[in-house]
Amino acid sequence: MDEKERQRILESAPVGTFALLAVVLGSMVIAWLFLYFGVFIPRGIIH
Amino acid sequence: MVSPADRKLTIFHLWVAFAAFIVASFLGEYQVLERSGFIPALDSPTVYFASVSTHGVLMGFVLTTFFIMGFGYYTATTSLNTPIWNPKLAWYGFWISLTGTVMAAVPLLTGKASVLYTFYLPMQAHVAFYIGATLLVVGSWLWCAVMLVMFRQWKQANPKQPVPLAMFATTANALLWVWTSVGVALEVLFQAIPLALGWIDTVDAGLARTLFAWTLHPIVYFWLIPAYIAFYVFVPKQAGGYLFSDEIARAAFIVLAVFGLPIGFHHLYMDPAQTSSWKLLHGVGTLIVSLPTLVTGFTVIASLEIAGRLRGGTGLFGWIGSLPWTNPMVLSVILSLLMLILGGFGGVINASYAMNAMIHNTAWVPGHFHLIFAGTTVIMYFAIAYYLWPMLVKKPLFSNSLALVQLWTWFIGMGILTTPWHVLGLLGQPRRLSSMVYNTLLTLAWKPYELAMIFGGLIMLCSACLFIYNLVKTQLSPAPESFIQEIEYAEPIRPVAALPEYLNDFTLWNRVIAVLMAISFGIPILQFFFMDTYGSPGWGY
Amino acid sequence: MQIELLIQKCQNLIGQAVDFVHDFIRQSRSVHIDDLERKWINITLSVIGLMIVIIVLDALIHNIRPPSKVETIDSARLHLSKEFAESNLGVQLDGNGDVIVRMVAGRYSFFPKHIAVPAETKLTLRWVSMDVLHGVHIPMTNMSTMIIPGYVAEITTSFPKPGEYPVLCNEYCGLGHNHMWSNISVIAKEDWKAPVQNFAKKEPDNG
Repeated sequence: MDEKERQRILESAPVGTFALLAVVLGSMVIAWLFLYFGVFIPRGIIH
Repeated sequence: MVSPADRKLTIFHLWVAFAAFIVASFLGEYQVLERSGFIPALDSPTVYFASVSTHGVLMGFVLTTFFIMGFGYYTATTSLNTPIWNPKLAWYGFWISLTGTVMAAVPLLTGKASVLYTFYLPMQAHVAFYIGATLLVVGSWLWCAVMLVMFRQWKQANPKQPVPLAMFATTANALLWVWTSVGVALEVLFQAIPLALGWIDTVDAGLARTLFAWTLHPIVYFWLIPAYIAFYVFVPKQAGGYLFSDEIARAAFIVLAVFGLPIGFHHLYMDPAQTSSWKLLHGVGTLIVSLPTLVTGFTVIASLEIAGRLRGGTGLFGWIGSLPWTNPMVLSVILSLLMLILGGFGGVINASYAMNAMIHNTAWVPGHFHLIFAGTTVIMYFAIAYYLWPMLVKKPLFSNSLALVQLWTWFIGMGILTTPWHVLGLLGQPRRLSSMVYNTLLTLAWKPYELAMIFGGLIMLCSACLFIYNLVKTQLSPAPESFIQEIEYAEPIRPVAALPEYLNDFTLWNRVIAVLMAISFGIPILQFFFMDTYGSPGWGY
Repeated sequence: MQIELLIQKCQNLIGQAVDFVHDFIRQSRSVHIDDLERKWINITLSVIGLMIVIIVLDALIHNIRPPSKVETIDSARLHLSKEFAESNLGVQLDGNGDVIVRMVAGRYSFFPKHIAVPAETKLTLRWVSMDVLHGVHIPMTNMSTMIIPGYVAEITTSFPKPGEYPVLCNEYCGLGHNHMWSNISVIAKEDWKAPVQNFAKKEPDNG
């Protein structure tokens, strides 16, 4: 790997990270909404 | 080069930590076996609850505190390139904490302190347990003093220089611990010990729980921060790359410490002694403190991505495969982050205010904290141990492959143990039961999950033994002709140019914490002194 | 003169605060944050914000909150209290026709050991402890609360599905904790008959 390629990588944006975490966060949001509106609320409103 | 004396200080702390760990690991497997009811001869609430209390204290007070102190000393001396300040004080701290540990262990192991990790009053343990726990904490405050002084002295000797990230984070953790431990210290000094000695007749259980809740959340950040330290200062270099952002790392540690403190009421959501408004405030704060963790995830994974690409990985995800999976530190961070995703998600569910009713005090809760603590955090403790041990004993690690096997089995065992545990919680199984004797069909549904958990625990127990075996063999193997290995701290991609003072110092943040704590806990604690409350006398169990 | 000095002091303080904030912002601008990371931070804040908004709106509009009525009671003298005397425990209708359930938790059961309530109806349950900490949860429902000695735990909820449910203690309360449970029958609304009893006292007398 030459120096130019190395520099390019060091200055590149972490697109793989962003894609990975976007999927993870998206799944968490869906799971949260499912548990909140699909399991918690149907078991009975509380206060 | 770290002096032999400083290495000795570190290694003594780490051995106490891991000795506690292996004893508690055996207790853990006993517990999951006993609980399932598949071996009737084991059935004994007396032994079970003594075991749970001991297991909790060993894992959540002894392993953690001693590991953090030992790691902290080594980090301070290597990152600041200066010997440990006042080693005498440091050793006093060690011996006070160890004395406290032994003092608490005796009643714990003899069934005289079966009040569980959270030792909720008005249930009473033998006074030696409370005094022992107090000494353990007092010893750790001496560690805090050493960290804070070394931080201050370095700053004075290097004005306007960025404090090395590893020490900055360690100092943040020391400060966090001082703030955190006040809650439980107040409960033990003014309620538990006086009640146990008969100096007072009653205690207010609502106040006791509120004070414990002060400590109960930030203590887990006290444990987690060393894992994050490894994420930021070791992992990038071990992976063959650089730290994506030094400044963001500092900001993450600060926000974690500042917002990890004033949020303890998410442990009291179902309590009648606090109003829903205060609970909502703490709940909002708890959701906010997920930010530094999500940012840490991004920064660390981005560092891994750079490293992977430098090693030849291409495409959107190719860098994952090209990482050095055979490096224990790198493998650990990958497994740790996987567990952080699920454990963190469970935490968000717990934090979600009224939704807490769905899982409060069910089996979901121990499932959650085993995944996030025994998983995410402790696997990094293993990684740090594997990394430091050769440098501490000046011998190569006994077996790198064994380390990899141990890490994988810990991860797999954790998955098999905690996944059913979470499900049991959603199916309504209470926590802290030693057997399921309810005469109801519901409990039959729980059986298959409990069976699976036995195997998960067994895998983890074997993994724990492998860990200790590797370290012992490393320490006992003959010293090689020459062994040169120095600690390597990751470098940031772009050198830190202009660092704002607030990312290099804690004066401002101490004030912010004080204000936030006054807002979050001021009235909720003071209320007990203005209400007409009825105390409870001490009860046996 | 005193007031002028005070105003001067206030102005100085405000000036200092403004300078501080300006300085903070200026220093922050010098910190390099990668564009994608900045985007990630914003997305994360939005997601956290979304959850907070849902929770706060549900709390304010639908009154979905954890049980939090702060009310004290002398746990050592329950038998002397009018509200939690044994004859007053269990399911009753109050003056408004609402269903109120009064339960006592004590090692090792919940009393009365068997109660019957209507499904899909607003129920207010009031729990007290006669000894140590307990927790109570009816599985598959949101009927969950801590029961702290010295306090009345009040929770209002409704049970969606009729059936026989166990009432389980889920906070360690001693070596007999495993055995601490009772029963509740949730009866279809149309089939449930209110118990024949005097109207429950509206003002608990818990001295």
